[in-house]
Amino acid sequence: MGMVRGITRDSAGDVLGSVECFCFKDNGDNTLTFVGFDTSDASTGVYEITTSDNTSAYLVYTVKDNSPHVFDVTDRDLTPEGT
Amino acid sequence: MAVDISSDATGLIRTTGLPSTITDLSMCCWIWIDDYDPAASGWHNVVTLGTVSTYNLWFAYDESKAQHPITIGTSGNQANNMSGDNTTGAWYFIACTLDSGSGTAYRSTNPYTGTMDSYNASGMGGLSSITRMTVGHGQPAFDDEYIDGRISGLKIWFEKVLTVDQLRAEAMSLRPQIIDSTLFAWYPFVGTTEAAMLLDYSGNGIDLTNNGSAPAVIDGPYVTWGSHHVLRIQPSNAAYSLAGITKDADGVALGSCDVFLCKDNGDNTASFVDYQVSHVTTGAYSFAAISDNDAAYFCIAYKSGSPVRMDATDHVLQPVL
Repeated sequence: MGMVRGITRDSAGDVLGSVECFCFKDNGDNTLTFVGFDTSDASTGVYEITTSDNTSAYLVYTVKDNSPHVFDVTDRDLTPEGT
Repeated sequence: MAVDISSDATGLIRTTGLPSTITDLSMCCWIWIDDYDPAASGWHNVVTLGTVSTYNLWFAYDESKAQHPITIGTSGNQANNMSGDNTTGAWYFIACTLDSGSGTAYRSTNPYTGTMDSYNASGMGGLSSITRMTVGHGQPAFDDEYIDGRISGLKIWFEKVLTVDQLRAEAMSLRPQIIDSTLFAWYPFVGTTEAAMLLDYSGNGIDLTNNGSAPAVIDGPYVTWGSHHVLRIQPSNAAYSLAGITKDADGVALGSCDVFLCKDNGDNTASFVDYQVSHVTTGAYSFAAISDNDAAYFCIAYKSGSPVRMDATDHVLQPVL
């Protein structure tokens, strides 16, 4: 098992809470597999998503339906922490 | 996001900080007409410059013609014979330029790859004695000449004439692509309060004020905010497809990007749908044969290199039928 963990922030680097976080596994063959979802903490912006391993490459797509909507994506080489 | 200007009592106005004389200008925005209200006489104004009793410039729909052509006019002449209907209930990108007395009105439903219709007329003089700018309705003497609909991403440049290609680039994001001393005002119409919604984001402080009933924020077109985005999305005319162009931070096509199409299932899960590499030269990509057109999709793109570049779209993309 593994864990992808992070903090959602706005463009100024300030914590942006209550952001929807979708985690995908990069299968390395031009396909992705959805592995989990978390809404980041309203105050701290922390999100945690459990993965099935800690050796594969993962990415996180984030979106908040604010006004305007804000959204971003990480690189696709995230290695989960071992749990 | 967009501002909902849905009645004759809703209008936005600016009376200070306006240049008294203007020779050249460019304006553009996305617009949606709910209804060509017959109570509005003559014109459905998007933006006007003038005084309490006159128009020095009108950027408007001409009510006198059945097709309601987009029009730019001054006291010298007007360009109001563009063919094709401006139907209600659809988003259009519209623009106008005034170039040394030559005025051109533009309109397109798909300014990214589709036709940009236009009509030009000469003999338009420069503007002088400007004391008021209105958005969505007329000057006080003509306050029944209003828009019944929505306006999004309004941008105004004075003493600048944008080319068609530059206008297409402006259509791709709410944030202006041309930001220099000629950018006079930029109204993305976002914010949850009236005061926030009417702010000018250009840095010039040309905020609008409400001149009637309180306007409301309403859904806008599927246009990204812009900034550093590496890709843009636009609908195409193909059946059940999503197409776009991957671009760099300067808006230049960036080819050979890995593009992943995913679906937001609406239940806190998402699904991978398809993958493409954008065209090496044009940056174009197109996902076809998508199984439905009422779901919410998003794209994620990567460009290998040093550094790796990446971006994503909003999760509201809808394939078009």
